[in-house]
Amino acid sequence: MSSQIHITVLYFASAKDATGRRKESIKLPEGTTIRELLLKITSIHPRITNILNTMQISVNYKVVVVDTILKEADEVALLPPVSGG
Amino acid sequence: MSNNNNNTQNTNKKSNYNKNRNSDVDGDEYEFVDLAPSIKRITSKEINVKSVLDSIDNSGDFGATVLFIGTVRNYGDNGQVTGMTYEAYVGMAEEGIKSIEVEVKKKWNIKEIRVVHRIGDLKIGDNSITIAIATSHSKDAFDASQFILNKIKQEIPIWKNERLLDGNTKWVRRKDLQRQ
Repeated sequence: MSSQIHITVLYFASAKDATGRRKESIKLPEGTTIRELLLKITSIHPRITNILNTMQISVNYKVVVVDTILKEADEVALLPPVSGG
Repeated sequence: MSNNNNNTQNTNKKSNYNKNRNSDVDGDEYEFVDLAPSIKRITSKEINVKSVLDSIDNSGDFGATVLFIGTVRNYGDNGQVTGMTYEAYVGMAEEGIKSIEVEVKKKWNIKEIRVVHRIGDLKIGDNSITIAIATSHSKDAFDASQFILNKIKQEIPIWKNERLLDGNTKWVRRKDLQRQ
């Protein structure tokens, strides 16, 4: 049986509205990619599906590509298009 | 995905991300490390412009200081606005603004930079962002100030939510920002 990792996912702005939460902890098999995580998130929160392709994904403050492999204790954030200033 | 074209990889990248810190979803829990310890780059408190300016120690070699203050306007593309709520990924925003400051110092002859962005519920006319730039010559200060503002609007994880006259709220989209 493969070992598992524990990550935290943060939801901001429209992502927070779509999921109804600001953060959650998710347990995943070791070797899970961002792409696989996003599939899991859409299964948990179907309302986010329509806006997911507008977002960037960060891991520990760095914007990453969807092939990135997650590690234990990573902090993932779903970042809608920004609008500061 | 929009991030398919981004070549930044997670593995082996150095970052100031600290797994042991408190969650920075709530800005007040984040511990800032700052070149100017009295000034936070992201704050939930009213921005004290005088304190920002006073934190710049003019040793005599500045010829110009440009101060930019962004305020909450009472209208937008979605109609009349009664207020604005700003949300940030505080830790990442702090790191992003620091990176912009480093980039600006490479492009222009900058003596001092202060950037403070407010988050939380703001009223019409409230100061949402203050940028202070001290340089030898005025053109550098104006150019750098505009550059910093544009970079923040385009890259830093901060979002604004308009409170509209009809009681609804709306996240401001990139398209809505083109004229702002």
